[in-house]
Amino acid sequence: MWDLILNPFITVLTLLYTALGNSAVLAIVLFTVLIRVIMLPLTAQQMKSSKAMSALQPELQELQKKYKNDREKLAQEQMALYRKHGVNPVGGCLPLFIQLPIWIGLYQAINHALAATPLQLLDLGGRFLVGGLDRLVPLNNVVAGIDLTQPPQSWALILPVLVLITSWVQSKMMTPPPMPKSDDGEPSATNQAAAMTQSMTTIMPVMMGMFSLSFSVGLSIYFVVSNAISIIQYSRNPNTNWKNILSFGPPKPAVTSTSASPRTPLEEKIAARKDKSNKVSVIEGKATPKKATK
Amino acid sequence: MASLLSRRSILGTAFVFILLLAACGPAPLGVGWPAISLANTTCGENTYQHVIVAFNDRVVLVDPADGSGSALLNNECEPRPPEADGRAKVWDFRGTGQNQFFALPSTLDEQTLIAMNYAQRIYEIDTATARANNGEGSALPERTGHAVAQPLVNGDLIYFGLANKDLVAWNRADNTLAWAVPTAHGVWASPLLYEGVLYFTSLDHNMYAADAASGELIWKLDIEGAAASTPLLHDGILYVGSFARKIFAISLEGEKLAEYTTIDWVWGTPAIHENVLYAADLVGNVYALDITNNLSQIWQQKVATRAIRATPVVYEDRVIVGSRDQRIYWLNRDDGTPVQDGEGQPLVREVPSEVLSDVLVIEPTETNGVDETLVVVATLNPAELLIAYSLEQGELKWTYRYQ
Repeated sequence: MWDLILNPFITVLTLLYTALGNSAVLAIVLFTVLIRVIMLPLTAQQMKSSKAMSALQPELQELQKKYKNDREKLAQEQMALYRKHGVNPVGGCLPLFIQLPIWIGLYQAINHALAATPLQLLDLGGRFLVGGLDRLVPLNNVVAGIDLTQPPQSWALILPVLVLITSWVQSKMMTPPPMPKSDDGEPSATNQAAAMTQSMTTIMPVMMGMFSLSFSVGLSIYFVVSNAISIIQYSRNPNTNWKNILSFGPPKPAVTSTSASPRTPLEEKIAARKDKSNKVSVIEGKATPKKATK
Repeated sequence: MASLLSRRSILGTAFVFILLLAACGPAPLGVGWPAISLANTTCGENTYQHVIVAFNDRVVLVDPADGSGSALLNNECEPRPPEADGRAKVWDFRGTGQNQFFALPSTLDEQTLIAMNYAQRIYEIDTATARANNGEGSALPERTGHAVAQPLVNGDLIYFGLANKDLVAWNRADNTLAWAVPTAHGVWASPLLYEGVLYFTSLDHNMYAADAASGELIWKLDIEGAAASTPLLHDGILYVGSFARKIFAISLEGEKLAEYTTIDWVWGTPAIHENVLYAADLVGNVYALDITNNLSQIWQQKVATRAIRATPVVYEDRVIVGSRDQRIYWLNRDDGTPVQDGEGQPLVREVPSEVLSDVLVIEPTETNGVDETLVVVATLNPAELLIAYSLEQGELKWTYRYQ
């Protein structure tokens, strides 16, 4: 089953290696870019879904407050809200889970093709889907005096640093901004999760950088390129919270979409509903607009 | 729901991270296969035969009579007193730093073995004590990288094939590198020494001949694909298999005399018996070729469903191979068909894990305590690292548990 992903990946990687003048580095870079481009629709779907969920957060919080003692009703109202705005609550997860085996396959393909140990080389046998490629085995894995199958030495020590930096930037860009505190001043469940994510996004890049000291150079190249592509993707999102990138502490609240960027159709709809509900609440409170502004 | 999604994202990220870590790093323990062979040790007037196994970070000796760890002997050649917890003191050498041994040690002299681990640390192991004479081992001078090939001893010169590239000669007397034969890729198998010339293969698709004393290159021959085995010398002709899906017959002068195309890569060194060459490939085929007739095919059989990496063992009228499909196959030497057991069924034995190591045949001798000819195979399962069967009917005789 796993071979269905791995064998085509190894074949394409080796074809790229041949096409690029037997350069394993260029093959890894181009292969990573290629796979990430193929996955663009999935990542775009994931980002769109995540954005839509963020836009619904104020209404979800209101529902949570309103039905905090009736879980069944809360679930019904939440589902109704999702239906109303055409949002799939697991829409952000599905693309992620589809991408997981592809990422792992990409990583494994590089690992296999470089074949640092006898077992890896043995496992490479029989994986080529195009005849004649096995005559290229093993790929030339020494570039500018650096063995791509081995942990970095000399100038290649820059790679763990790049892995750390790109992982840091990428994970900070991915971290959802916290929602404002609720009326009672308590942090919402969403914010607690965001804080948890924040600590992970601080620790993980550091760990990735440290572990890159023992990864093979070839894999570090893959991590850097993959992270760079993610950064480019996320930087195209107008709501990206750039302030988070230099932040070591808890995430800063995001600039609202009204001031930072044009609203999406879903955000427009939600904002319109909010305005409407505000008017209703003023009338229900028997307050005049003038009094309300005082 | 949002918090649930965030948690899922965290778990997903952690999951990927753990997977990455599990597969990363420089050759963690457990990614190789056991290297096995027969070895003799002497004590006083006595010679003892053992199965020697290099696996993970250890080298152990096993008694071929019953599969127990070979006992460490005292000066009177009697087993040493057991450990405080009652366990017998057995021959068990452990390297430093949890680095793997991909290859067996070689005999340096009557009392010493020499081994190199994956991190290129050289150990001189005292066979009486199973301890290194040179403490935590010594580093190969002037070179960094890895090694997966067995060293070859030639007096004070020890030849090491390096996993990154080059064959080097280490002068043990003064701990210097005497010379290096440059290759474009790794040398993953021990060289063959014959009449002062070293013959060896490289993953760079070439076979090399070099002067054993000076390291001067005599010839280099394109064998069209990577090769990870030691060539076989028979009647003045070299035989080698390659990942080009070919087996070559090569003269000692470096000229291709004949070649045979196989279905998949050939990893193991071929075996020759009565002018017939036996080889196997990585999709489970076994071949018998006539070496007197330009490697013409005598028979070819699809034996296993997965790779047969090691050299087929030829013994009397049988060929025995082990495969990654977790089976040991007994074949008739004449036509490659399965040998029938007492009940008329193909003589095949299932083992608990893949078989990638060479298969040993151990004949009874006066000193080894074996009462009938055994077939010994190594698996990747530490609980049954070695399994011995009778050659005749494949009866299970013993198993060795890697502690």
